[in-house]
Amino acid sequence: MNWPLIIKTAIRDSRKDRSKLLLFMSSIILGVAALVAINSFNDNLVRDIDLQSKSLLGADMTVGGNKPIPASLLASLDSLGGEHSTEVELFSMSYLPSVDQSQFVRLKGLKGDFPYYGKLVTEPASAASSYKSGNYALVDDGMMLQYKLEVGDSIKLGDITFSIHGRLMNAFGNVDVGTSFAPSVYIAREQAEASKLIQAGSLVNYKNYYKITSGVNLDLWKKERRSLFRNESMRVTTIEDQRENLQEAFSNLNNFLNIVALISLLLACIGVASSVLIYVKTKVQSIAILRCLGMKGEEAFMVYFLQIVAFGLMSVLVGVAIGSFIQTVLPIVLKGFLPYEVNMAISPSAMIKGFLMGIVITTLFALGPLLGVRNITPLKTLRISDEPVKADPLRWLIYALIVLSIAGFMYSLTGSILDAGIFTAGILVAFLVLFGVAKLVTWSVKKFFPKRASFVLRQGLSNLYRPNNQTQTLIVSIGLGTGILTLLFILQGLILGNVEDMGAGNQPNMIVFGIESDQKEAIESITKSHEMPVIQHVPVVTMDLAAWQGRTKKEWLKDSTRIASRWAINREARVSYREEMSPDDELIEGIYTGVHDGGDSILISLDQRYAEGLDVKIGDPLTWNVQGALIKTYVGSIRKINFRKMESRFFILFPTGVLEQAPQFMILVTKSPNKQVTAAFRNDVVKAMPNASVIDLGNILLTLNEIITKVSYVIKFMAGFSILIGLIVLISSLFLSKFQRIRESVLLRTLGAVEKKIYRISAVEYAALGSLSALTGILLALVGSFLLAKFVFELDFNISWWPILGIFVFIVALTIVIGLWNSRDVVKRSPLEVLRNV
Amino acid sequence: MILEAKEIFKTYKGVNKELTVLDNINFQIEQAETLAIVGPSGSGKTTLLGLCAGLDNPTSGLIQLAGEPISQMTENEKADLRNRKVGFIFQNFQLLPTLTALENVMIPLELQGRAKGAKAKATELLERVGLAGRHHHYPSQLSGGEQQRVSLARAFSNDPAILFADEPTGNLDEETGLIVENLLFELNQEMKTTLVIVTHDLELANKTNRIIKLKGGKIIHDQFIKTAAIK
Repeated sequence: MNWPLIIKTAIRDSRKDRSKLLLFMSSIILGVAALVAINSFNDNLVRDIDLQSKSLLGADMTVGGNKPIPASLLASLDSLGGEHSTEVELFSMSYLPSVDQSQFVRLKGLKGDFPYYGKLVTEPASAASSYKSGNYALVDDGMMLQYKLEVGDSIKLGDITFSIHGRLMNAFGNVDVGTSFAPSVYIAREQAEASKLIQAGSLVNYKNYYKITSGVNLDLWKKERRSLFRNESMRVTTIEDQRENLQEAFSNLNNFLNIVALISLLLACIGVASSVLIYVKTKVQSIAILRCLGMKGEEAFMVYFLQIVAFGLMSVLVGVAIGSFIQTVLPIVLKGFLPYEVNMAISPSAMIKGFLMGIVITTLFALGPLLGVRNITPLKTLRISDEPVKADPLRWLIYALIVLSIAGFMYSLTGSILDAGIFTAGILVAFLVLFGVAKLVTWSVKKFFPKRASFVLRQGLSNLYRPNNQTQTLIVSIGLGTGILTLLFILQGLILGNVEDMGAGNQPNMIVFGIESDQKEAIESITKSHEMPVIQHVPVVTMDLAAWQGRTKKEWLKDSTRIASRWAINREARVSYREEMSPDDELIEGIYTGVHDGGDSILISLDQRYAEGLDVKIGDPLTWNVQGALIKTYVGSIRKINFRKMESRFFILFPTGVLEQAPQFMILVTKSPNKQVTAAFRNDVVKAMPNASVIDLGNILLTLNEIITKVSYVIKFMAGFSILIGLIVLISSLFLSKFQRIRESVLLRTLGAVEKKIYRISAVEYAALGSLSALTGILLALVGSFLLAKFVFELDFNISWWPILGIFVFIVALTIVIGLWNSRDVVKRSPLEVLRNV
Repeated sequence: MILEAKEIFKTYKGVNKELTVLDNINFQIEQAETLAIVGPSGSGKTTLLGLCAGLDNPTSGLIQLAGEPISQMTENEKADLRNRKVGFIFQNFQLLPTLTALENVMIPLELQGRAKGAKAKATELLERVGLAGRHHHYPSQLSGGEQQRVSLARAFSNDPAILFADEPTGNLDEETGLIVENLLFELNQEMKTTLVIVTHDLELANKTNRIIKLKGGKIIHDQFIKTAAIK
């Protein structure tokens, strides 16, 4: 090979086309930038997890569960030496006298010197250590801002009114999501117990924090006592566990982002491949001349390969640089998901990874169309034809290498051959489906072409089939972006719509729980005083499963061959009793018994999932421990619960006539007509019965919206990215097919078409392109959201068409504007230039 | 003998039947001979030129170019032979649009690995064809006649043994065409090159010393003219 000439020709030949090449390479810059940014971010995140897992846990080890730690375990824990702190955590209503408002809070009662590592950040700083010395509370800064509270104001929790001692600037172990639903409040543990908020049936979490000085290997210690703690339903977390949990949680997020970035890179590469194909087509004549003058096929191939590799290399390097810069933006996008501040630094490994992946993928995708250069015959100098460049059988090898490199990248992410295979297959299937739909859509347009339509319409539509068209690539890239956006909007609409349905008409929208038996009349009278209906007022009795099918709970837990799941066995049951089954529940098996006849057999009703979890069927005996007293029952019926209504639902229902004398609390379900009544009702309840909590639909919507908004921020960021790449492909395809368009436009003008008409033809073409792309995306989003709604979220599929129409109009308008803007030059060219064969 | 065509057939597969474009063509051309292939459209002139220059392969038959069986060579061997022995002039000039006039002329020499003297020789040739001040102009900045003169300079740059010209003046006006014709014959005489021209133009054909007439893919006339006239 004549290398000096090949290099010289590659440089000379690219001189006039550099701007075109730079443009289509910009999609590669974007793709690589996304990959590098996400990988750098992950490297920083993992590094900080290692550094911060100790201060995030605040101790060497924590032990906790939904009951106090049993004495048998405490003895074993005490033998470790060192010091420990104890905590009770519960959700409760708080009352704010200075503003006469109430707020649902996450209450933590602490005793001891926790945190041992890290810092509880408060304002003033001294409040972090002194709040346990009296009737003081630390209150979440966000909540204080919301209610315009100041240090020194009061907050009533249960029976005690506390003075706000400081603003809580961070809360241990809580990710930001949901804090506006239940902001944190810290008080001393003794005060939490004195407030009478902890009662039978209260949802309380107990936790001990340990600082170990004896040098015991806690992971080994934990491993040896694993079953001991599990059998008591106690969770033990060491620093290593905390690190692994965080890593796992964020590696899932990172894997998701990486897959999205890879899809963006692949989209960009598809854009590159089709641009290279067009580029090669515009070069066919030059290649034929070079071949005619004696250049070998391989040498001609090398000329263009070098050009593409050089531009690819430059683009990848720019992409790596931009990616390293934009990683600093990601913490802002992902703020809500991060439990701590991530320190951003340049990550050489992410840069190398992004560089290698970028260059390999770009080169492989460009190679496919470039292979054809070897087969361009010198005969084309004599006869100009639009004959397509012959496809090369070597392309199959290139395709295989592309699939392998994707799988390799996936393997580097997941570390599992099986997962990498599944992901790769998933990506391939997704792209094949998209291409299939794109092909089907274009075929349909051709098949049902409006032959009798106006000249402008026919001309515009037939442009979709012109040689060098990018119709399918654009449908795939713009379609994918539109699809992701639409899917997001549909799902968001479906979830919110379903939640709103809960409160529509006569559906209840408020639940009061934690009402004591003797407060039954009082709560009903408060409810009625606000002209609200008592839709449900049901008793709740807490109990534990003691034995079933002739074996005790302990025996079952020891049996490694059992089918029953641990969650079902260990669950603290909250049971109600009623004569009639809820009309929304569906009886699957047996007969519902509402009233116990006084005989030996107490027939209870179980939820289907719970029955499956316990592996019990109709007629099986179950013995319950109701605060010391054992009650033997039999499974009388199995129900399927409809959780979509905001009412109290129970896995286990007893008939009346059994539990009436057992210690119990009540739940009241009602409906508030508006926010004002909700606030007034909530205040009255908290004042009259501090132990009760009010949850309203507004709270749930708020939390749900908060989560969806945070997730959608990330997804919109990525969807926007995909659309951006699609538009770059559109601009580059317009650039590359410019000459052909100029020639056609000039011919049309020569034949009498005015400029306006040519613009109209172009507008029809871009409108069709934008519509087809948007329709493809929307079609896929509809199918995807229907499947997700039906099988994952179990939601009713009632969608609102307005946002979808909005997305459609936006995408079509964007495509038309960008298309026409880039066509100005084409329309304005002088016919003379074309006649001179520019 | 520089070129020999022996029992050449060229057929294309049509939808229902085979289309014979060249039907048993036989001829020989001696060194420094000038020859015109004439005939109506579709008679097979350009196809024959493509086969003789090694741009395409015959369906059957043998073509020997400069003593080498070009019809039996691989693509790369043919490319190498073209580069060493053949020059081309096309009706639509076929200059590389991204290369300047000078670079276009240098290309055949650079392909031979003779980059060292390439620039000097290309400059000399461009001056010879009257384009002394246009070295750094791109094809799009040149008129049709100028482009064809660059093409002439390029065709002679590698000292070809044989030069194939496909309607060299077909895209030019009469006056410019005449200038290009004269240059072509002058350079041909100076360099003792064999010249094969495909043309409709009988006036141009009559300037060569032999005319082969094709019709329906067959040679119907092969006539030697005593002297080639140069105006």
